[in-house]
Amino acid sequence: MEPKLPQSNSQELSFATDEALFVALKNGDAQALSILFKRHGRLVYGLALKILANSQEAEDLTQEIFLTLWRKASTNPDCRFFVRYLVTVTRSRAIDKLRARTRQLKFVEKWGQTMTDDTTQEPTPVEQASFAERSQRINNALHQLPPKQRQVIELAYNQGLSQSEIAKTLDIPLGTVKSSTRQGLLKLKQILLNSDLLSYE
Amino acid sequence: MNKSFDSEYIKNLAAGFVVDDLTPEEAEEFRLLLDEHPELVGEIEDLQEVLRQVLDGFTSVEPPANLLPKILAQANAVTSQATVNNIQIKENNQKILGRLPRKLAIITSSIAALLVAILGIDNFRLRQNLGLLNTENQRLRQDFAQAQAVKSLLQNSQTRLFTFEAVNSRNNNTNNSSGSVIINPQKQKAVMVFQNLPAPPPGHVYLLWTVINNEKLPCGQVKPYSWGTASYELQFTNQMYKEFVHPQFSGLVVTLETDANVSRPMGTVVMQSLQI
Repeated sequence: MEPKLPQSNSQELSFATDEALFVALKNGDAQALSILFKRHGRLVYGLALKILANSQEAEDLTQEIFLTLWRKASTNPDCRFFVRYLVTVTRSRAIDKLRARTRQLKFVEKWGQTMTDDTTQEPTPVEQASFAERSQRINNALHQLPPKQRQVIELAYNQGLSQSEIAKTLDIPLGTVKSSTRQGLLKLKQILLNSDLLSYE
Repeated sequence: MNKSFDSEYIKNLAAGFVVDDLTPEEAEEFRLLLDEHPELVGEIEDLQEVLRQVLDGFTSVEPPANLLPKILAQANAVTSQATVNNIQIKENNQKILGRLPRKLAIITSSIAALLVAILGIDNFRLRQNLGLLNTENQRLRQDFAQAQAVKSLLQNSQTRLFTFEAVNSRNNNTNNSSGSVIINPQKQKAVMVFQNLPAPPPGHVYLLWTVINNEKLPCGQVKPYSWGTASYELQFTNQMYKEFVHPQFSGLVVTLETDANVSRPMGTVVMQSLQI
């Protein structure tokens, strides 16, 4: 009989912080892996799909990232900032894969459009409405930024471009891409978190 | 003005940290700042939340429904140390074969290009499986090296053994932990073996202490290569080995601390040697 993964008996894990879940993961608790995926799987898969533009490859990369978390949890340094960690790892690995694909299968590129495996499920009406609401909120916030800051953030996180690709696309120095991304994020913090506070009040 | 104390400069570094574009020098500077000013954690968490919301606003798709079960199945395979490779290759080949008719229908004009694509995917999956096996192999090598170290120590007449048991308390998930320290001051080697020792909670570390004349002296952090059940060689200084042959030596304790550098125990005792 195949051994089963250790499972937490506690429902409390559903309410645990990412940091606490990561500790549970270190202790081999498969329930923690499941909850982390439910919380962040969409972010990882969505970002991977934007960069790779191929649902099968995005699925493979998402699987690879969560399995690496599971396999190396006990040897990883503490993931204190878990979302940052996931975004960084997903972007970096997806961009690496894109480069490898470009190098190795350059002559197949002309089939790219045909090869794209559009097996991504259509969102349900509820999911569509939820996305429309989130999207509108972010677009409103982005439109309050200076154009360059908005462009670099959209190109990085909506188009999945690397910083050097953004510099080339916008014809600006790499240093400007970096400073605009940082300043843009700091301004978005004021806009989005202030609006959170106002809506809470 | 010293830029390290300029709050705009620090915020700029924090944003660079969150989007992962710090230069190595900036990263080191920020690491030191974070050590000195733990309140920066709040700023990072806020910026991280903003990044999450931005990505959330850009993401209109949901991961495939079968992805989580697939990940859990793979995790199970890793845990069970089964012959992952054969099973995975078989599954993957079946999956690729399942997709073939549709792809063939679409790419009728180039069988060669399709074969190259399939080989690429297959190669990718094989590399994934190889990665799993390499990790498992590395773990087994570490286990073997520790077993050899323990065997070598047990063959020597000067070796001493200290067994640990958990100090039970409420709200303590180390209640089932136990272990031993095998030490040979002559050879200056020490190995700690334990079971059911969970990873410390966020922001905490386990510290080992010798007890000499009722005074607890630091012996370093308990930091094995994995948690739960494992063994590992302790990194001791000459002074620490001397403590074990000290006439007033009376045992060992393990405490749970928030600061790895405390000179005396401030936290809870989670395990203690049976001699105390």
